[in-house]
Amino acid sequence: MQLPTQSEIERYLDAAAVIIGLPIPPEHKQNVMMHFARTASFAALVNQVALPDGLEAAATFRLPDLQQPSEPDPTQTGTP
Amino acid sequence: MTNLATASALGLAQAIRTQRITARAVVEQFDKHIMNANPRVKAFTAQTRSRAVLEAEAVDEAIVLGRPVGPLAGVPFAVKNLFDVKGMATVAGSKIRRDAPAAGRDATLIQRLKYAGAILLGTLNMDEFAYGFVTENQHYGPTRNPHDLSRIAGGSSGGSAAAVAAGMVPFSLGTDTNGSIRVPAALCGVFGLKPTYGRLPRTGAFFLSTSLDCVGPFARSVRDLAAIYDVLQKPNPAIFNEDPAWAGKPSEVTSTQLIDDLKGLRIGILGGYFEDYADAAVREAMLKVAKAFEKTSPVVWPMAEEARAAAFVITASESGNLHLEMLRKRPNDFDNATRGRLLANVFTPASWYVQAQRFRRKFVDDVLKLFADVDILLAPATPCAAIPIGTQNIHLNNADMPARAAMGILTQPISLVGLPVVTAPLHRPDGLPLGVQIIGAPWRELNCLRVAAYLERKGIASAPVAKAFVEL
Repeated sequence: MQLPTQSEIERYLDAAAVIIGLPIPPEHKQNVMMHFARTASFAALVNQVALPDGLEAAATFRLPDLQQPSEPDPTQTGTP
Repeated sequence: MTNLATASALGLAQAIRTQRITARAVVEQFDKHIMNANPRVKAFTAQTRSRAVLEAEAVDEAIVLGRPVGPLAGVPFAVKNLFDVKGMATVAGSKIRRDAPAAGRDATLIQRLKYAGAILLGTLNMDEFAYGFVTENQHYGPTRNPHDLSRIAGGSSGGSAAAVAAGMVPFSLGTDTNGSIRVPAALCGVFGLKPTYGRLPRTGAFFLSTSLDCVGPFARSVRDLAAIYDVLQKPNPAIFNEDPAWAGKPSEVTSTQLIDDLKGLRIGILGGYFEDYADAAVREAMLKVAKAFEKTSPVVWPMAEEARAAAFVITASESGNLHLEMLRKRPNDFDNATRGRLLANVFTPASWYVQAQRFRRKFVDDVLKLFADVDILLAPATPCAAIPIGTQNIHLNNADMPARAAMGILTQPISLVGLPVVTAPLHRPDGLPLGVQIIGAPWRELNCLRVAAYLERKGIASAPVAKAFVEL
């Protein structure tokens, strides 16, 4: 991934702000661009790592067991 | 008991249980100490006096009547102000959430501590929405390091570490997403435990980045830390726990298992990245730590730099989404230090986030393989000692880096894996405290605590109350 230029970042943020519905207050724009550029530089480090297609994302979705009490512990009865 | 400011949590519990002092008197004396110390340190943002007095009186009554009381009966504590406290708005270091409805119940961990008899004295300062490593909060002021009031306490749980270091409470609770327990524990010179991701329920704790967020305690001795951790683990059918990341592991009693030696534990020292980003004083302190063990082996984590980057991207994406609504409605009410970052975070492309989470899976697999040869890994907790309040940049590894983010450079890669870590404080006669991260394999908090206790017994790790705050 090539690092985006300042003007590319600005154009991206302007377009995405419309889609997301989050206008960036003009007085904060330079600061937002600076922080986005920093995130982009970190993302570039991660994006250059080749990952196998079968690799699942770490954050996995797990359904709770409805039968399971919220804090199961048969040894605890409510007395300290 | 002559000086409560330096008393241990377990020592206080014993004194109260044996009626050498009442819980009520303990609460009153700590209240006095907080009144005296807090204007200088700015660790507390709110106190819960009337609740504390009621709870202390209930403990005293139970003891007089010979009823059973919990292991922490009468022991005061405080929590980072992102934990729900019944009847109070959970501000999470922000101005915006002062208007939030009051919490209807205490956070799960506070309830567990209350059940064990501990008494909540108040809530503690932090970086706004836990997004930072400095606790220089625009709305509540900076929390100052009790060992040098001109310097940061670290963050984001800065108030939690500083309150313990200044003897205002014997223990506290904080949260750790990328290092927010470990960094302030090191800089304030107290013990801190970040358990394995999913070990302790986070119900009632305000999130920053849910796939990284952990909750844990600070204390001034390993014995206290382990005893508090044991209480925090203990499930109770009467207490709500809605944390979907909670792994439901059976609780493991650690406080009774700290007395043996380290036989059978193989110790590795993390080099490479973890050395490159440490200054000379930190490296020297780590050499002293390494010498305390009969045998250590060098270990290098592959792609630690990329791991830090992945944690950064994940935090950006998850926190941006979390705060989107308030960024739309009240952008100018955010702290100047967090507003721009959170606004930028909203625009993190999904592809970057998913790549970071997929990289995380690979990195976890790679790192866990290394535990075939070691049981514990040691690394510095911070790249340097506490920096002066207001510092913008620090120079590390031949580059200038923004101080707010760089203080967590050595903790972030470990957060990505979700490993348990005890930060053991290293006090130096001629300098400010530093800390060593004692990193265990998943769910092996006990090993981390055993090594911390070993360093404490050897006199290498210790957590004295800061000199200026020793007297009540």
